[in-house]
Amino acid sequence: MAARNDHADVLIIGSGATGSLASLVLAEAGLHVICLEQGGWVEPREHPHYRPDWQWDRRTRWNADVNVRRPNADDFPVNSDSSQVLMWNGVGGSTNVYGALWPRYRPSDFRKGTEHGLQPDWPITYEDIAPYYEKADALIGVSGLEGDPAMPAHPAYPTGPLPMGAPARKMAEAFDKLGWHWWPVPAGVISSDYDGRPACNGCGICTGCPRGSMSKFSLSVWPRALEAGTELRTYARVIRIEKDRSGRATGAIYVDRNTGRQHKVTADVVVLAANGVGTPRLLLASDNLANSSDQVGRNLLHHTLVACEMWVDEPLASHTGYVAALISREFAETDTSRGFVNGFNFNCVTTGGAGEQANGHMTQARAPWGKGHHQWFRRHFGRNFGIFGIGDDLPNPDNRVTLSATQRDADGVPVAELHYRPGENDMKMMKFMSDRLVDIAKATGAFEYKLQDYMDEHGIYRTPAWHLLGTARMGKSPDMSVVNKHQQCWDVPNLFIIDGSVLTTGGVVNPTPTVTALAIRAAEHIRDNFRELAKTTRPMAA
Amino acid sequence: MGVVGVSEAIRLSTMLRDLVDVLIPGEDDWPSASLAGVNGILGMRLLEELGEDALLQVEQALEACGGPLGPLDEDQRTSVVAKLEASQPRLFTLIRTATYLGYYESPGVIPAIRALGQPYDPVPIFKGYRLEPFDRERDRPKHNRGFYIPTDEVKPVDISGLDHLGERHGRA
Repeated sequence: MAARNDHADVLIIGSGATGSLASLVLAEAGLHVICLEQGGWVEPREHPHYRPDWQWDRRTRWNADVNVRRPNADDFPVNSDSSQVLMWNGVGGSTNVYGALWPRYRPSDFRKGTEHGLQPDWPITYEDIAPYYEKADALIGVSGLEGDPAMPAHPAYPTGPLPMGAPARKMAEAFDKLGWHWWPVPAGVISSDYDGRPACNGCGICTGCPRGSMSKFSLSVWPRALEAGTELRTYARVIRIEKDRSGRATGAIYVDRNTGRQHKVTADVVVLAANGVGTPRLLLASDNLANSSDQVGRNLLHHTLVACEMWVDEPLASHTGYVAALISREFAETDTSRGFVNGFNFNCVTTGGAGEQANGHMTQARAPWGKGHHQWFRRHFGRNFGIFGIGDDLPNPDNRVTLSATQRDADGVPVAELHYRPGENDMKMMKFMSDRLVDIAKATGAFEYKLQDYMDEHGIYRTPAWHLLGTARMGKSPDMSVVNKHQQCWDVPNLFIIDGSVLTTGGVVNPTPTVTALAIRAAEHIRDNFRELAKTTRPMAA
Repeated sequence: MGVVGVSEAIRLSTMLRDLVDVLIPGEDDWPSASLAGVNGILGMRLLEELGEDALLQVEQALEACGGPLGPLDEDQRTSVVAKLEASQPRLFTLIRTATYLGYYESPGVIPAIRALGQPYDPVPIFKGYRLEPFDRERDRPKHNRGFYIPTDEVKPVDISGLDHLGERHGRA
């Protein structure tokens, strides 16, 4: 029973990183923006950081895996036959629990169709997105060191590089010994006070940041978006996007989770910002909306991922400082002599608290129980660090998000089902990455190292899937993509998708910087063409 | 489950104490897990994760492996817990995780961690850790390694030697 009907210039579904940025851009332009968020605000004191048992809390109540953490009514169910599905539903979205590494994609990431044809070219280039990387950097206060020879030149970051801790120096030594590239990693973490937020204090608990030093978007972007006039409705779970006979989206039906009542918001433009699982789920549940290409939900990308944890003799206080230390782009470009296409990147990271180190942090290497326990701890504590290898996985249309035929959530929306298997090229890359991780471990002089391939006892790859990409991808033609270069649905001209699902390829780095830059770009396009978009029945351009 | 009687309460509490001390015994400056209070923490974690019958489940599992631990000597206790680890890996993982995290989160254990010579704050969000700021002279990479391929210079690569890609070609 609808009890409340409203109209907005722009309706935004989802209040995570991209929804907040679009809200800011469009509200600042004077448009009436309503943003619907199925979860609530996450107050700083709710984070695990302030609890003496924060290590337990972030494995349980604050576990990023929606299928592991305590039943949280803000979440929606996701059945996965492989991946650990990592996300957070609430104001600020997954920035409540992410690590905020902030590297950009490379020019070749946008040109894989030209390079080998196993992925499509993006309809845009690095040069198209570069100005928007800079806009996002400025909003967030990204820290980093300019001048990386492995990347196109760009202006200095708004805040300087974070401290190089002892683990970073140790890893840099190893990369130098191997003759490989390394660089301080850009981070969505401010190294000096910025925009009313305090600089990182190096506490080392980088699972989100209730101080706001790491850009938790509810603390960094949302205050500005609200001040600009955005109407944010929390506990508002969208169950369907509606369209009219002309093919235009008319708005969305949502459930007010506080009252259980349904409402409708109509809008001239609808923007979907519900992540790489939530967006295809909602499109498929909305009578297969925007899916004439049959690409909605397909080509799910997570990145290839392997890791290595290593221990050295000298104490490094490896539980201190920002979690990510260095990045290495040594293998970022395709070199077919390695036996596969595409490249990868190394993210070098610090470790967790004492209990997490004893219990096995990145790998299953843990202190033995019983007599040898204390000896192990004395030898290993604070002397470890980890390196993730993260690479560009090839799209596979069978890796996809679909709807359950039998299960529905409490509001009647079919449950999302997720299937993902790495392909042979991905597996070859991961084997190569693991071998190089061993090279690094040996170069550090590690007295012990342990690889993590994320394979379970049945040989199923159970990657911690932070990166939910590709399921409504951007393309040059409507037959093989869902949105055009403006992130406008080919089939529904006033419907835009601005989350990670539009990424054509995954690149070799954490995708949030690229996703946010694209969101700003799309929002500015909507802003600059709003009058036309408010009435058109055709996409404006390929 | 009905009201827990006194004898059952003592029996289950003793079970938790004995179990955590097999996992983390005391040694030199390190308190045993029970001395640090981990048995109480473990009980609450088990209740939280497994429900009201959690401790009875653990008791039954230990008995199936040769427990209870109380009357046994050190080697026998180790043998029983090793059997529990092998026969009930999910339950054991929960017990071990809760015990390890509870131990190193216990205020009484923090001095022993600090005595190892590295800074350690059990709740570091408040004060953070003092780290030397990035020094552009000292810390900037000197290697000048690294390259990228500019947009206009991205060219087709020869994938004819990559047999595993044969079937995929053209499926972008």
